[in-house]
Amino acid sequence: MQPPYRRAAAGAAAVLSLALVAACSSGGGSSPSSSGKPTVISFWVRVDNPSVGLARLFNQTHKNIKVDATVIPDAEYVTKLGAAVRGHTGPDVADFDDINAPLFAATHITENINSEVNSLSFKKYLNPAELGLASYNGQYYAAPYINGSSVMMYNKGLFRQAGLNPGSPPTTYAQILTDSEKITKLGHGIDGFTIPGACGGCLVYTVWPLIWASGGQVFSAFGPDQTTTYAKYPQVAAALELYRKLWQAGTVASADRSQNGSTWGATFMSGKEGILFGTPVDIPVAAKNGVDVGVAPIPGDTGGYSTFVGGDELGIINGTAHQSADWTFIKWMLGQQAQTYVASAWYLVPVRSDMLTPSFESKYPDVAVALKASEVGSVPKTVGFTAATEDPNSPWVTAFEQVVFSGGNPATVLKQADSSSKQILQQQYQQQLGG
Amino acid sequence: MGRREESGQQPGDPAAARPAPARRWRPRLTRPRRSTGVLARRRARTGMLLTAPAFALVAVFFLLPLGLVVYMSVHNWPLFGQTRFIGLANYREMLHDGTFGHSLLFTAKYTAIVTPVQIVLGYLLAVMVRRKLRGVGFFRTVYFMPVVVGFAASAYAVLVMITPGIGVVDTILKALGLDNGQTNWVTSPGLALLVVIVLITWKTVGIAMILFMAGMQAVPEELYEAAKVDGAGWWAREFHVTLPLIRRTMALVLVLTVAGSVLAFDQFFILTQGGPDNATLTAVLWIYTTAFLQYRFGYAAALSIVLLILLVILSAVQIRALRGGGETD
Repeated sequence: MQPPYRRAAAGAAAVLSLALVAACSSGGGSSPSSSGKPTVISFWVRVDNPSVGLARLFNQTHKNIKVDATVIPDAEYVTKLGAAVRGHTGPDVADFDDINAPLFAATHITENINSEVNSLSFKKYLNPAELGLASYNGQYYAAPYINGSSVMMYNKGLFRQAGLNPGSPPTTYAQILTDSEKITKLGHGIDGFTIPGACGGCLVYTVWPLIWASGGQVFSAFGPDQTTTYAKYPQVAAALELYRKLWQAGTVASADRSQNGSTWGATFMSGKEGILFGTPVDIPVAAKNGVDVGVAPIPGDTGGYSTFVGGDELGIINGTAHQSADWTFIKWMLGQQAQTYVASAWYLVPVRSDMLTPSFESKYPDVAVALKASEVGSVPKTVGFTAATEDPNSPWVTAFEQVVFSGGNPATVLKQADSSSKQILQQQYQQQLGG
Repeated sequence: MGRREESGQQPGDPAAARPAPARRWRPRLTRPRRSTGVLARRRARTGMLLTAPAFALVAVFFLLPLGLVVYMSVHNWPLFGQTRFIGLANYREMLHDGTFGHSLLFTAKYTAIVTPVQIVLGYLLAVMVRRKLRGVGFFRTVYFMPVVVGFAASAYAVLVMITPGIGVVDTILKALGLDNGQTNWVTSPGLALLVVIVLITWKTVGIAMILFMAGMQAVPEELYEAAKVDGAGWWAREFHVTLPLIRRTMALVLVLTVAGSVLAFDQFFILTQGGPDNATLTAVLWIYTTAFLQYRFGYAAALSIVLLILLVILSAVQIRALRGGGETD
């Protein structure tokens, strides 16, 4: 090489190594506490939930611990957490979607807090489904924090107009169908029912309670041999047939077929829809628009009810330097004051069944319906939830669309969905848990 | 001029009056001599220093990440937990990945449709706006403006416009009596593809137009006049004068259009999310799914490398095929 090239190469190498050094130095993390100054805990929270308000309340009443909340959009939450933990810039405490709890527990991203959880005086009142998600090999790695169970909401005004009794919402599949048809007959762009047709997460949240209430199951046990059981239980096909009938009877807006979740519930909240399965957090917005909202649990085929116990859990992220401060904060979040705030300020549901007192029922009747239903609710425990059900092209969404909108034969479609899901789940267990 | 030096002719040489024989491309016989004096060395060093920042930028923001992606592609790289070296296992798995193959086919089909549309339309627009008429500047601006509108913003706007029942498209169709106003554009593969093609053409044809315009401006007016004198019509003028002389511009537009289509992601992510049932799944969208929905970063890295290699080969083929424009016989 001629001299100028050699020098340029050396210069470039110098710049490169400088850049590398800058990139490799880690930043972030929580500041160490010194005597007298409060311990600062970094707290990652999901969008649109009580966490920011609760963190502020906590800071007002605790002078030796300061919680610093950062809001992370839901779609990027898990990936960002993964990247942050790898780069040692993760938070101390994280508020995450409860369906991610098994993955975090199995990979030990959240620390083992088994003795702490067991020491809680109200532990037996914590939602059993959410506790189940937080446990791995018999030890707890997270604590239930918000109970986001799904319920049936209906427009009492439209019920009255259609000649239906607003005090008796549907309690069977047949009633759902007839009530929706009657409301749709009102015309003027009013639809009887809602289907979030292209949103996998919204669909599992609203359709699976129907299956569980009728006695069916959708997932087999947690573990590398896990599979879906869509074809095994006839209740799954029955629930999809109900949706197909609702769609073919014209009780659902045609835009719902491509509803990807971003405007889910908007039409109900503006008073143009009869029935919406969803979360009670929508109720205040609907009420503000003059909708008289009734709430009931999601029914089964011929009776009974169930719910999808979504919500949030709190975990201490591995690598934190403030275990005891973190646990003090988490314990406070499960206390009466915080859990009441969850209901009063946000219409979300507490995770403690001992809060279902008569005075709570009279103050927050809609939340109480969800809380009661969540005692018998379910939520699937798996590490491949996103890949198998939330991905817009996942086996679950594909099967739903094929049966409900394209009139596919449930027997063949569900069998195919099971085999695709099994493959995905196997891959997920192998990839995320090693092996 | 290069050609004259090659054949040893000087200006004013009677041999220049003979038309030059048609030549195949061959390498230049003379090289510019490099000086090796002190001044030349200092100039070279200054040049190196001036380009060093750009090189550093490319190295840090492209070469380094590229190296990291190659490194990731030979590992099992889960979201959390230990990464494990697994050699070429990701690449072997890719060979059996039906969804990836399907997405490549769809991407190829999409590219094959969109590229000629953009090139022909861009060329025609450039022909229209290259004339020096009054107000032509206004049209140039109007055709180019969609390019500067944000991609995501325009895709979301289109998404709202095609919503059945409330969107403007269905409302107009219903008013014209062509439809019942309830067509769901994104749930049928053919209609969804049509919507995406219309959006992307509207959005990027301005770039092709500008580039073709620039290329056309280098074509001397005298050639057009000579052709007119010889009796050539508009089509003959375009085909025999303009097209051969803008070969390099054509190569540039082709490479940019093809690369943009092969890497298509935003419009499909926002409008169709790859649906219905993977019918509009592009390669990059599948890579996104494996990385951010299945949390398999090593495998996604392997797919990315393969896509990169395919695109490099494709671009090289295009450039080679259209090589030698501008001053070729």
